[in-house]
Amino acid sequence: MTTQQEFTDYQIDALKELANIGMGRAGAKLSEVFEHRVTLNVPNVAMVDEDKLNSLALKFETGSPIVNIIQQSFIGEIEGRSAFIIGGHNFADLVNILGYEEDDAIDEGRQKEMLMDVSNAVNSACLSGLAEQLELDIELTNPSIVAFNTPNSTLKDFFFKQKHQETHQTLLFEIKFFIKDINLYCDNIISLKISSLENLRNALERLL
Amino acid sequence: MTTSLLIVDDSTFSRNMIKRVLPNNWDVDVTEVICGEEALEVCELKQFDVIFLDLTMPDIDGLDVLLELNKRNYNSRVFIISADIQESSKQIAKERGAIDFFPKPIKTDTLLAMLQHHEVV
Repeated sequence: MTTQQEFTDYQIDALKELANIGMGRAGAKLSEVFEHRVTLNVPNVAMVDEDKLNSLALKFETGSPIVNIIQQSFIGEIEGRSAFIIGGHNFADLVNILGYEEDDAIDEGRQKEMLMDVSNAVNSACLSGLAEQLELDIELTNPSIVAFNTPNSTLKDFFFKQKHQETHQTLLFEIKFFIKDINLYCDNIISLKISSLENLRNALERLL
Repeated sequence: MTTSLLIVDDSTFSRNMIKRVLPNNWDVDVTEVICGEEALEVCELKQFDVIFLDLTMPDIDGLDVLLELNKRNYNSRVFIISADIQESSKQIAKERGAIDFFPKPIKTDTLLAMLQHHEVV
């Protein structure tokens, strides 16, 4: 049980659509937060080797050499984790866009808090699309910053250092956002534990 | 009288969900396409009474489909059924001629109410 054959093409299509619903909610949230229109792309859903997750991070297009990565786990009837990558903009400008006081822009603790707030909002929205439709209970744990104002070139040292222990395979959801007006790129890379796939498949079968 | 309906959505699952919630008493002839480009091609060949149009698609997105249909003076009642629920998307879609906007996942009652409100059924 290590290949994409665990899910039929139609099931993968359904998972993409459920991810699409979550992405739409997250896009609306980002649009509200940054007060600009968010460009959405069709999500990518696939069974991949966990090494692929690192390569996705390395391919992250920022237009800026500095990026931030916020990692968050979810637990419950399906479990896994997400990496929210945000870049492409000077962070001080980002703080201003978010409407915080100027003093906050130079306070590292406040900056991190803001990043985690945004990540939490996006993850809640993304995962709700999946969980609500599949009637699965999940709960997000507190986010943690694994890369803060980090040079893009060193991302490989930060991203998903620890693999899920039981396997090298994972179900990947890759969701991309781009806010053209402020040159802001965000990727939300969600990976499910293999041990959650049976629950996911059963829930999908009920829905289909 | 039979209504000709075009469903434009890249997801087979999504198109099936939409067909599943169509009103039982609606006499409708459904055509499905999987992308914006195909939608524009079939609209060259046929006049549809109603179009259900997704926004986020891999080639030509729904907003661009609307733009192109406007250029062609294509006269159809277009409803957006999309997961992209940004206010700006709704606004642009309406500016480009969409009659109404419904967030996915669409439910039977919601769709029926929408179609009745716009006197489609």
